[in-house]
Amino acid sequence: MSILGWGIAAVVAGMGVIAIGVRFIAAKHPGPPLDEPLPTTLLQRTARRGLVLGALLSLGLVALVLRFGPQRVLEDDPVRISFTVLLVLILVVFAWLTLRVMVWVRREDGTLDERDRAILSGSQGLRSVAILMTLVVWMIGLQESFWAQGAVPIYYLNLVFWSCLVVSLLAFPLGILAGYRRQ
Amino acid sequence: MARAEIRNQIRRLRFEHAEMTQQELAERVECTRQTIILLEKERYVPSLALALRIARVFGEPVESIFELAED
Repeated sequence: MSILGWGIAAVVAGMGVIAIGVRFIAAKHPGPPLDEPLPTTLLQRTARRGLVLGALLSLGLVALVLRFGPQRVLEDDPVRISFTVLLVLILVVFAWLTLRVMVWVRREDGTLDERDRAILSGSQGLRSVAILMTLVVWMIGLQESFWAQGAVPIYYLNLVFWSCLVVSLLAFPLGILAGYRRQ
Repeated sequence: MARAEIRNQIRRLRFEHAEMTQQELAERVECTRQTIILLEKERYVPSLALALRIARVFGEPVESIFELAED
């Protein structure tokens, strides 16, 4: 398999962990009956916004890498600028989501109630496993592809980092939203 | 072994207390309306602290609001 294929597999593996985790949680604990739709909490609304923004930006990143290849993304100036802009936006979304939640956690004014805090705590586990799975697949892929050369081209280090960031950005809100399904 | 459930009288007490809304109760016990709805549907078991705050709002002993029901 090409190294790009391994990269895609790494992200898919991370997202696969999230998908399995979400399905498992939803199946084991089905949500409330639909006769009374539940009002959404502040944490849920924030998680949804983060997920939509993160997903859109991540798709843009993936499209760039697939279109131009990992080497051109870092060496071709116009492509690199587009890639960098998307990365900065992803970092902004990531920082916004994380900091907003951190501020709420520190407040004692009821912004997050006990159930919100429990769901938030549980979402961290899914995120950690998803990142770990992404790293495992990258490690296997890079070893398979570059073992003979004894060195990994430096531009793949960027891709490993950014793919883990993308998986983390998506796993965080997904883990939160899955937790609200656990009734 | 029998599966224990926690039953509660929150909905009835809410109506008995000047038809308090779920939002009003949520604000008084420092939780979300979603949590109150799930409590009333008996789909969520509150922490001891939340149960005690609910009991204080209604002026009732906690054991008269929550009971352990075994199948």
